[in-house]
Amino acid sequence: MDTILRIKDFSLSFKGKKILDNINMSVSKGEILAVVGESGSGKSMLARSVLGLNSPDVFDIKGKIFFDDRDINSLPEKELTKIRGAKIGMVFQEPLSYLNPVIKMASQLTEPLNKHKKINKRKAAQLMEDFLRKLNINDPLQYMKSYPHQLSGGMAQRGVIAMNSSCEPELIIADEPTSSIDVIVQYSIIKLIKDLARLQGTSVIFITHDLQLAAKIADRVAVISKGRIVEEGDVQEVLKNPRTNETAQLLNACIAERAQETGVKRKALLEIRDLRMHFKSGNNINRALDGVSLTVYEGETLGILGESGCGKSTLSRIITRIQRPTSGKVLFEGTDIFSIKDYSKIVQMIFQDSITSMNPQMRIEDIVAEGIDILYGKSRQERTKDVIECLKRVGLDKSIKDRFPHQLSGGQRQRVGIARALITNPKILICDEPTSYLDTVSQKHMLDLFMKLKNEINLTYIFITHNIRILGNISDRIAVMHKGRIVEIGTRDEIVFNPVHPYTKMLIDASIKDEDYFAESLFQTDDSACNSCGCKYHALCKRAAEKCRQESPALISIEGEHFVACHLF
Amino acid sequence: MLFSIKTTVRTVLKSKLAWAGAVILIVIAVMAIAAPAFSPFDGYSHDTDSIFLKPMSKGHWFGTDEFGRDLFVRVWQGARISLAIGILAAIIQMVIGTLYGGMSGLFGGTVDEVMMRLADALYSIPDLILVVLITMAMGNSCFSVILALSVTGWTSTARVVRGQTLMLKEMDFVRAAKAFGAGRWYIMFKHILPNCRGQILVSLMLNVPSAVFAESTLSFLGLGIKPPDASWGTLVNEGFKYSNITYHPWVIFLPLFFIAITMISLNILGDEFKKALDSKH
Amino acid sequence: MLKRLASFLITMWLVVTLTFIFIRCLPGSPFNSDKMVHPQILSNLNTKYGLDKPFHEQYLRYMQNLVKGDLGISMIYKNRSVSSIIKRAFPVSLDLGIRAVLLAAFVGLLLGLISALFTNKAQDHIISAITMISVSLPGFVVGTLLQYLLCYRLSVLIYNITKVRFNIFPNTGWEGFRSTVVPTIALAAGVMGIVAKMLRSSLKDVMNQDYIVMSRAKGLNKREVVFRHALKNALLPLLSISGPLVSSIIMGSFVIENIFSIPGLGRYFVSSVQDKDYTMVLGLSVFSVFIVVLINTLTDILYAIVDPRVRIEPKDRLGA
Repeated sequence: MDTILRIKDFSLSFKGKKILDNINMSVSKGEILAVVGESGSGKSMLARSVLGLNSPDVFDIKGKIFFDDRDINSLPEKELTKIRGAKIGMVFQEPLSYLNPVIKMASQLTEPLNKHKKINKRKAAQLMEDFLRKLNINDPLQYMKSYPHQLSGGMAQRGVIAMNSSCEPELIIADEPTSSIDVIVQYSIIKLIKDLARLQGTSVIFITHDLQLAAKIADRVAVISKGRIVEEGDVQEVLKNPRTNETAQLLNACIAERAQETGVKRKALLEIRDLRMHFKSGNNINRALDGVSLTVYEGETLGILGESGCGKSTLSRIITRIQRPTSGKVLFEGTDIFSIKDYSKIVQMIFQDSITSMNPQMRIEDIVAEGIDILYGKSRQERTKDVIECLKRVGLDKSIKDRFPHQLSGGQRQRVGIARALITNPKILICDEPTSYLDTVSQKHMLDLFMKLKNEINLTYIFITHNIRILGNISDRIAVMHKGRIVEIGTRDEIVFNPVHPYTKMLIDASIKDEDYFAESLFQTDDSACNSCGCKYHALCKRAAEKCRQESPALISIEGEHFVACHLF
Repeated sequence: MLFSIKTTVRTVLKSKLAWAGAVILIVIAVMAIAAPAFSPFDGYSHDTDSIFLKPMSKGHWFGTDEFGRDLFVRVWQGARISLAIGILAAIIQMVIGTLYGGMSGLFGGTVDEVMMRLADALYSIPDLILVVLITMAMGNSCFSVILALSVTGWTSTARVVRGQTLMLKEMDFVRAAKAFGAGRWYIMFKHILPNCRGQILVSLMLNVPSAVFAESTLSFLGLGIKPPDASWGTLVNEGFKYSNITYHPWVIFLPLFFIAITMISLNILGDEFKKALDSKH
Repeated sequence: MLKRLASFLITMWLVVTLTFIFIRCLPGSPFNSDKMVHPQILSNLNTKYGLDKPFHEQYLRYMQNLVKGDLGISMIYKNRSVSSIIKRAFPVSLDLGIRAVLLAAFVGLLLGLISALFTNKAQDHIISAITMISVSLPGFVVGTLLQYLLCYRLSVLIYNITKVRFNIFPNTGWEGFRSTVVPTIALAAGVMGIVAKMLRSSLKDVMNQDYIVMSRAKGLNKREVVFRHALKNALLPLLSISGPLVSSIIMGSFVIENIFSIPGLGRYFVSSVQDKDYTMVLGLSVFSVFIVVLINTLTDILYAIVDPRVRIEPKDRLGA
């Protein structure tokens, strides 16, 4: 097997800080190698180094990268421009920020053909159009005439992939190409890359943070952590027998079955009825929440599972009265929350980004005490006493109260956020992705803290995240949200081990081998199909019936507390 | 996003240019305050024996003008007026602009639209014309000039503060306060404005030179501060009217020189502050 | 589009009304100034301006006149109407303005480009110093200096070398090409600096954008990256400030016209203020503001046409 890329003892430093440390890696002709690591592990810098995009004026480079037996770092810029785009192609994460907003797609997509293969613009455009048509883009002519912002992320990314393949490169580097795209579209893009690569015999370096995703496309995988390659090998092998801690952490942890307490009569604390939130922007209506109904029971931990854009943040803002809904009601113990006087004392919230959730000009003491300052009028000493007590409850020493947010670690800041929310002794705590900016160790500590508090104060949690692993570990019930609606809701076991709705299934990742669940038309539809008619997934679902096209399904019960929005049940 | 006056000033002080600008300004300010007191002349009395004396003659360090008035004293008295007007106008612009921009951004929606359209309308009217009209109506005193300048110059501050406000409004710490039931004014003064301090300061620092610019242009045209009081602009105007630039250039070029270095220094300093602020993001 | 038209009209209405109120608020009747006016003329003028009628009727009459294009008559020079002054003076100011805009744009863009391509090297530092100075100095400072150096000193130099008395750049007037050179340079100086600074920072920002990395990854060389991808994006912010820039040139021309005795609008404006010729001031103000606001609106529209993100809304998205 020919080796087309060999990275030998490669190190990259910036101002003394090591970004890549002694990387050794090789890619053979026609193979797909996945490079998997958490954010900050250096994987993107590795990709850019292969293309020689990291200038030796700015970075400290050691070691060699051999492409076709030539060292990239010793080649002059003139030679490098002949390799880039022609022999090595690159697909970036967010197509809409990596495409020039003021140039039409036709111009941008034909540049490599024009520059490297010396094909004139008109002919190149014709070739690209044919190519796009093969990729199931319906109207390639219109596509080429458009500007990037007129296309959705998935559509644009397909064009970029087509552009990269147009010069038949030996190697394509894909740097998180689907990370900001809806999971339904993700798989079609992955499949596209894989199929094209196999067809043209191109090698692929696929960079991602998602090991499961890597398994679907790659032959081999290299795990990178803190600038070092910690594990390498056949992808199925690594998945089954991870040899290092870092790899194990990247995998979904095992979620054990748990005995549920059934039949316990619980009090309904919060009742959400047909909540809708519509934003008008120009001529568009953005339906952030499109008819959400939910009940939250005392003492439970309700998980809300969904990706960004599903409406979970909007939901949390309405429940905490930060925003008013377009229509629908939220009732607390039977009364409309917007008419309860001291509601803010009862329901509180913890935010995702601990940096932006705290005023950088304020000291910790003032941040934690804000609730008291606004809602009560306590004396200085009482206030300080309350603050110290709250800090203790979340495991922080009282000396922290005089510091500023930027002086604390991420984990400490999040605890302060919890302390702030607890100062008014609330009954319900809404946690909006509180752990997504923490490393795995801190995450575990945070979840332990949540459990401890729950037991101590009998808090009711609404826990919002896109991370199934976390919900699997702490929630009693899970509701799955997508595009402003709840598509499925049930107990934790039901959702994790027996998901029914196609979207849930994709998220849970349990039975994705069932690819035939989705029709071939997956390539054509990008974002939701018709918004106003029928089930949003009718164009995607193979089992779609006529009724699915016409009527939007309500949540119907399958079994006990397990509800799903689908006509087929 | 963290702004602390200490670190910003420290960054600015690292720049040699900023030092140069600051030193020049301090010297000018000190001279403006103290210099007239150290001279035997008073800058107003006419002395027909001493007209158009060259600098450094008969004890007149800067020479004399068409009426025999000592130019050294007149220049530094002019400095007082020019700088005072510039600084006061800039401060008033800062206050109006901050409140207006903050309210507009915070209230949002239609209120914001209307307020910004009004501000835009005001902004699109050329400053010079508006200032001239106001001084025509209200006379040529320092007070009316400051008023006129304030009315025209606040829009840039308002725009900057509004931009910051719109961004800060989406921050989670504002949402956290709202979750506690905080009202608009609490949020504005406790969360938003303190985080705009950097932009407001830079705005202030850049408003001063633009106010001095406007006032000196106005007085140069004879439409601002009128004699016998004189700002630097007025001095240049008088120089043009009563002296010949080929025979007594110093009458014109002395105030011109001071306007130039003051403006350049103010702009350099403001620019360095702006760079220091931007570099943190 | 409609919004812009509406704000244009609102601004004009605001200005007109404000200036009208100003004039009416002036201390005492305009006719109580130092001039002794014959009673017959006085009553004629009163009737003409309706100064003896109630406030709102005066306003209405004024607006009517405006719509007809009648901006009023000078209070001092009985035979001069504002419109006739405008007809005489505006083409001169326009001429000066256009020359200055072209010069400022050309030189400014060139300097800005060089500055951005050679960031932090010698060329950049020199250009930054020049632009800093040109931006800080008020128009009359630059104008006076240039007049002194190029109109006077240069002639002296020529005389000393060639013993010929040749006034190469006349220091007043607006006849013939040579008299336009120095005023144009003086007027363009400030704006040129702003353009250069703005292009430099805009281009620097653009070069840090993701799509520039992509264009390099495609194998384009530096020249292609800058001219094909970066420049278009960098020029957009400049277009958006071109309205205020042009209006600052117009205001700057008032000063330059006074220094060089050029018979443009600015000169008449200043002299009418000094003469306390209120109707003339009012008329010229309204006209000047009209021009400025018109140009601002036009550049706004131009920007909306040029930037595809504004021109084509995402609702025309190809989503499916």
